[in-house]
Amino acid sequence: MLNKKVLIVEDESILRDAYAMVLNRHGYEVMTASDGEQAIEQIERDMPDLILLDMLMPILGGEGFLDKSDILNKHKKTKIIIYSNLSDRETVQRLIERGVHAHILKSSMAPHQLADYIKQALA
Amino acid sequence: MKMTANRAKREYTEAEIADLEARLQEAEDTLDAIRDGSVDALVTKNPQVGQQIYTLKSADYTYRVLIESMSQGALTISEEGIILYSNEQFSRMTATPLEHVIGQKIAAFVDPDDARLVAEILQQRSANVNGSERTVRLKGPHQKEVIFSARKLPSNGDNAFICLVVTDITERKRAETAKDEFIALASHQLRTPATGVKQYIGMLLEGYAGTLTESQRTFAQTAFDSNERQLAIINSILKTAQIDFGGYQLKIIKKNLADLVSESLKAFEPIVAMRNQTITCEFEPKVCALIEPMEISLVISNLIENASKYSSVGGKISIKIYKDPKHAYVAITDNGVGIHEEDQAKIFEKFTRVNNALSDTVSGSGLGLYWVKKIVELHGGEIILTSELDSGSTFIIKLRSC
Repeated sequence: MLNKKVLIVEDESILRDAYAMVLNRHGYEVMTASDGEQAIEQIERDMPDLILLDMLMPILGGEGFLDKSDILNKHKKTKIIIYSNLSDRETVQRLIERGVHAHILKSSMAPHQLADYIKQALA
Repeated sequence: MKMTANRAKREYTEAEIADLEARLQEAEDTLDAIRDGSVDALVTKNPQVGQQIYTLKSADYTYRVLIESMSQGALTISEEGIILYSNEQFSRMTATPLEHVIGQKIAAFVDPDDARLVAEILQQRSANVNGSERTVRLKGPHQKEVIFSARKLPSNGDNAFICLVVTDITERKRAETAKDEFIALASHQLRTPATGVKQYIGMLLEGYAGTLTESQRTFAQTAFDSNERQLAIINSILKTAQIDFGGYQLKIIKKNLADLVSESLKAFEPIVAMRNQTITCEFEPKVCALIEPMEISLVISNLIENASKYSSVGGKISIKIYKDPKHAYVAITDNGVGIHEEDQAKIFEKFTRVNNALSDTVSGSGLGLYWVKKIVELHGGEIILTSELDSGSTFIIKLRSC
């Protein structure tokens, strides 16, 4: 069976590297992007099964990526997990209503919890 | 000596009688006009002192002073929306001379996009005497945001009037936006470095950098736990700030409480198992409450976490869900250290931590129960505490049932 593909969109390089290391070890094919524009380039090249999407990023943030790529309408099979330290209630509710799979506060997850969560989401 | 009035009786002509009657009628009309409040001043002509003006300082005068000194705009408008009276404040708000305000349509001062809201107020006022409010933007370069509070004035005749109070909320809105931006940014900036620490120490503990010796593991675990406390404090401070700054709008839905508690419990299974504690559940079937699930879930998690933290190893926690005709209840009971009677009200205050057998070893921000109580109250509910020192505590969340 082919490995599932996960795109990590995160501007903080230390976090991006850490998530990539954890997901690689758990057998995922990992793609990375440091902002929304790079994420658009990545999904045009190869559509992932799941995207871990940060919100506050330079150039193009998470919500800007959703708007510009229109991924929630065009690629409904790809699961989007908002993985951010933003906990603004209105933003979270708006994104859930738009159809993202979940919003997770990234400070709430230890490495193994992230891996478990992604496994469940892709099951 | 007897004094006798000796005034000769005088005959009046018909013309004199008619004149006297007319003057009497005029005097009666004047008195009536004063009584019904339609006279502001009396002008008299006295041959000795000339013309004199007597101002009637009636209740109407006090109202005028009051209305002119208001920080809000105050208007009387007709049902067609024409301004019949305006105070100076509305004239300043719209940067329009008062003489150009009066007689103008109220819609002329409102941003065209909000004209519909003005029409709603006017139409609603025609049929209803209760007050109503709309937030609208005024025309002009500053795009002031105001609240229109309308009330139909009681009228005996055919013409009904609408009293409109206009409150400028531009500054308040700006402050709210600044607050939201600050909280959003603070939550991001405070959490992100701590997330890096959690991620890397977590990877160290999970063997990503090779096997640790026992003491390396202990040190890394201590650092991890300390970072967790820091994150919990950041979360509590942000939650408190969000609540205290106001504007906390809940999205209430019907939710089965057993489902909600079961979901919250999953996160505690490892912690409770590690402390060799047991949780027993007694859930009445089909207990449903009107809540925002995400918020009440945080409340329940906070109370379960406290029940575990303030009970010793091997402690027993019970969770009950039940209802009465109007309310739904979640009761969380522990057999832990308990709370002294005089501390029971204090624990819901901000930055309060009380002394007990475990307070030296258990960490906390002193904010958890403060926002827990606030969130339950925002739901129209209540937190009820019963506790006995050294025996344990019960926290009951009382919510509106559905």
